[in-house]
Amino acid sequence: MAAESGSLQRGVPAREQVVSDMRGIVAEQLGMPRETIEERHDLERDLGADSLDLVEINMEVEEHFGLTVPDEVYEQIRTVGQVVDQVLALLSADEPG
Amino acid sequence: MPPKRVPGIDCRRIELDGIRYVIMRESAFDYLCERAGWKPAPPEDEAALADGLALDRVSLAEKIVRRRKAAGLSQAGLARRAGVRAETLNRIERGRTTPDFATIRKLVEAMTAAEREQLERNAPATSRKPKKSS
Repeated sequence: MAAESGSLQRGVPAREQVVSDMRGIVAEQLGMPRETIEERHDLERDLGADSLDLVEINMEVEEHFGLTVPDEVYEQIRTVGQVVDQVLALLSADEPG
Repeated sequence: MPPKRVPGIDCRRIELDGIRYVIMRESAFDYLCERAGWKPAPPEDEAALADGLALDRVSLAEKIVRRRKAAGLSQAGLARRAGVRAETLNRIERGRTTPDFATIRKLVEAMTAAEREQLERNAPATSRKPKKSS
């Protein structure tokens, strides 16, 4: 999918890579073109996601990145960029030293 | 579509799920009703409107019902599979309650599993994961 990802399979992916994947996930779930999705967008307010969409996006994020975002953490997330930050934080935490 | 303004009244026309709505200040609405000699029906659930979640609740309810039926599940069947009380699911589907994240998740997981089973039943020869992977 990625044009060229400098980072590798087991390392933490580059931020742009996660942003790109996130835009794809959100675009597919909400049925809108990925070009319209920006990091600063609030999933509910700007993109019109409802609570069901949010849950499905979360599940897709977990499957895609192979991690678990605790519900109570995800409930605090508002924007696409915040999901990206959370994914990166969780992936870094998984990395051994 | 771009929001249209009506001269004199500050309002917005929007479309949600194919239904068109006009949003305006309550004072303007009251004024129009008075001019027209209409008496607006009192809102069914004042509290639900006040908390601003009413629309989301209704759209969530509709989507869950639609998806549950598409997955070939009864209300009781979905409740059982999701480990959610039947009464709770019933209230969710009638838009009477806003489920928390964990509850929606249980429902989605149960419906997704049922959809997969349905796909496998319908196409056992070419059974593939319904969703694209990356």
